[in-house]
Amino acid sequence: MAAFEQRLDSYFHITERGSTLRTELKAGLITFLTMFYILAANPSIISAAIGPEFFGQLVAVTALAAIIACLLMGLYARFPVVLAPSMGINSFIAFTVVIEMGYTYAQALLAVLIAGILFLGLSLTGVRTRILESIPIALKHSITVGIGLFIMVVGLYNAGIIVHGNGIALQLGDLASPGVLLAVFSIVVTLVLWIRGRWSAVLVGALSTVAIGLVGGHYLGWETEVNGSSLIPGVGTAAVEEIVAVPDFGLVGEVFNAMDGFSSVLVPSFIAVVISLVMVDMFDTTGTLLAVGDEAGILDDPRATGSIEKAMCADAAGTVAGSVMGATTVTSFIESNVGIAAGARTGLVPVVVALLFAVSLFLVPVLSVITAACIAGALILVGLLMAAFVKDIDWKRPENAVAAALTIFMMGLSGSVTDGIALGFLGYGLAMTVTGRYREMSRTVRVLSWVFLGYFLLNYWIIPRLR
Amino acid sequence: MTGFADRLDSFFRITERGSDVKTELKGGLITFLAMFYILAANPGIISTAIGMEYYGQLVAATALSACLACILMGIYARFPVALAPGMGINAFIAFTIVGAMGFTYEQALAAVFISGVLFMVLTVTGLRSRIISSIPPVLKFSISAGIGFFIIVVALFNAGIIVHGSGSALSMGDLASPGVLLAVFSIIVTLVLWLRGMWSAVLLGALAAVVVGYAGGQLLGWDTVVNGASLIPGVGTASAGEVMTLPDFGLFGEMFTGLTGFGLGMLPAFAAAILSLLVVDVFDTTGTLVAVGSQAGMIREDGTIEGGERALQVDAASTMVGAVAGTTTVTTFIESNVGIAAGARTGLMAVVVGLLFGLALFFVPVLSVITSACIAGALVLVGLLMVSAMREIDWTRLENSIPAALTVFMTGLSGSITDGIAMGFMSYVLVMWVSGRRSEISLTVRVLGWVFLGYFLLNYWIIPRLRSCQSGRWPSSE
Repeated sequence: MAAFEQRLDSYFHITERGSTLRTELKAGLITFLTMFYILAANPSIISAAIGPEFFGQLVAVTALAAIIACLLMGLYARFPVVLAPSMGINSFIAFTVVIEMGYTYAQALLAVLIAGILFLGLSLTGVRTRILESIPIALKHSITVGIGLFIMVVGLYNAGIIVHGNGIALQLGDLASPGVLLAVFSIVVTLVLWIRGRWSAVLVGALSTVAIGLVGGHYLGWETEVNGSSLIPGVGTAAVEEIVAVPDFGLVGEVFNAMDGFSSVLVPSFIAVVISLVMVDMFDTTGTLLAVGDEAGILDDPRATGSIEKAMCADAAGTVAGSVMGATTVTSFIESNVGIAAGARTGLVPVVVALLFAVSLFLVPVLSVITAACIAGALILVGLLMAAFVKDIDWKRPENAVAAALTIFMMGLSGSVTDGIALGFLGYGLAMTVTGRYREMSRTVRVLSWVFLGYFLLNYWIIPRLR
Repeated sequence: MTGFADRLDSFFRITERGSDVKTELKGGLITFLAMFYILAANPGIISTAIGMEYYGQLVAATALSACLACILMGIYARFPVALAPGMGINAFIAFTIVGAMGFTYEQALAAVFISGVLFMVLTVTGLRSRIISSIPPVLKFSISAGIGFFIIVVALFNAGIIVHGSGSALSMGDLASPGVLLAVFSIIVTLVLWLRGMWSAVLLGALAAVVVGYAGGQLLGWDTVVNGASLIPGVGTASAGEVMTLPDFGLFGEMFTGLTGFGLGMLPAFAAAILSLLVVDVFDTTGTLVAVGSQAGMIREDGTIEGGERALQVDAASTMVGAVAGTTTVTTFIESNVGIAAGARTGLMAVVVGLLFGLALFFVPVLSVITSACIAGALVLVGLLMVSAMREIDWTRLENSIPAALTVFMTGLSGSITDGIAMGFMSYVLVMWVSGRRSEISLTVRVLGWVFLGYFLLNYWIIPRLRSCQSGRWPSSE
């Protein structure tokens, strides 16, 4: 056993990166807890487009895609980031590609597959690295901060702490309802434990909430629903009906049915969809990897050179494999930072998460007790930690201030990491240009600014027209 | 004429503060353009609670109270901030106090008046300035930055650039629609002019959008409606039906009829409503004054604001004036920072805004062509300038970074400046407490931490409960 531990240690460089086997296992568990919601969220979004009868099959392919991608990331890239079918991209595919543009799900999967292959090509040829290196420093840190805000918005909205306002964008929700109070409790517990220097803050914050919520729901009749899901463990949509379910792999290989009903008229809009998917996957992943690397201190570690490139390849390969399995674009999950906050530093984390996804394939019904209220604390803590990277932005220079503010706030407000990055680049390019310093920008930055302008044209003008 | 200009200069200390009369006039005009939407927004919200037939009277009450409050601010406090009935607090009055708790509008106005009196007492006794100077520096800067974020959210949402998401909090709006593009145009023009160092950026950005939008609406058939209001000047809700109207002051003095039909049983709910109004007014105003003062460079060495005391008194007095005129709590408007960004530094700017509100009493129909798309640039620029206050915060320390990030983000995301400040205070006290530095929290901050906890209890537990026990007593109050 000791020999096995040593081999694990040397393969994943656990001691070298200042972590321990126990920390990695714990971090894997907590990361899984913050992201396994995708097993319910992804199927429910896609089944809204292709029919509720596919829900069970979608759960199975979501888990399968996550398992393969996490194993690739852990064993090949050895980078502490986890993957699963992406939120955001899945609604783009369900609502825009399938419902509005009228493609079949198989054809949408083909677009995902091609986008994944293109992304893999960009990663292998080093184009991706060049893009990554060319991002101005101020933008790099703003991306981290922006993702922090993005996570906070997601955490607060799913827990009902903020809701759609009446005539205004957002307002505080019903803070008197037990479910929302439970989320506030999880935030307070997590923050207090964290400030007191306890690495287990995230895990204890989540589990204590589950325990209290189960008791309250069972004995005190607590009941709160937000956006159609229950916030109270064991109640409503979070109720446990059975313990074990057998997975249904009916959608595996669905992509090979893509040619049914595909005609050449569809080609232009199909290409537009593919390009859009490549862009979103590339910049969602870039943002996430930068943020995770920043937080884990891997970016500045010379020994870790090359691990980001490998992580990109693993991400692209995950999308390719995922689409064959029948899932939409697989991407790196920013929830990985919860694991980093718990001390994780190595590729063992995604391996642990993959194993937990494999187990959860059979235990989906039980996991549903962990509601959005329970993981609110973890998400808010991570968001706050990432927001502190504001300190590394030089606000005194106008081009930095414009780019940083656009990136940070638009990422949180647009609900899309890629849109935030794109607006940050455009703001930076505009500010440099009008202050007469167009030539001072590197060529890659200049090209990227135009590419992002094209991306907006594509997503908001061309694709809506093509439908 | 030069004699008059000299007297203006020495009264408002224009040259002394590094400004000139022209800049002040321009600053007043652009501030008015950024905030006159209140003439439509305030009546729109309140009339949903008390009836559409009061819309015209509410416009008159809104303009009258803003006019008097701004002139008072300019002449008595000589502070470059404009006032009008506050957004957010008007919704609280319309939907909670009148709608849910079942008070009449006249009774709600009486509550507003009493909260104004209490605010005045707090100010005159110096309690208010103790509160302001006790705010830890980290929270002061976060409040400014948070208000900046708040403005950005308001501007983008009203211009349709961000919309409610389906299944998510927010998402990008329809960027291909002409109205939203017009807003993007106004933002780009304003930012570009600003980056090139032109002080007129805000004004030109707004006017260019009005001209382009008006042409597009008339000649190209542009038509975009967001949240029930047209974004295109001259189209739909933004069309100028007639040029002039006469104001209808029917709501003036209505407050005094509020005490008829007031039963003793309503007292607890009435007291709760007053307390809530007081807390919101105090902290919205504090946040705004700190933000405007620091933007205008009017914060003294010791952290107090030049002219801040008198500004608070005017704010309190204006609330009382507003209640008598027939409208909800009058408060300082953060949009004043648009004028500051255009160079305004003195009370003359507030006087100009007041006079324009006076004029507007008669020209409401024409002004309606200036849509949210046109002022998006001005608001976004001001928001950007204010969020830069984040650089003053020492983010490396946990006891700073957690309250700071919470204040900044929650002010924008909760849609309420007071809620943002409240969460900042509570998290600051919590963080200091659990990190074993309880003794470093000043008494005022500790008390305020509890006050804010009470505020949340009041707003989210007690007031919602009071409505349910009242609904039996006044079933037909609406």
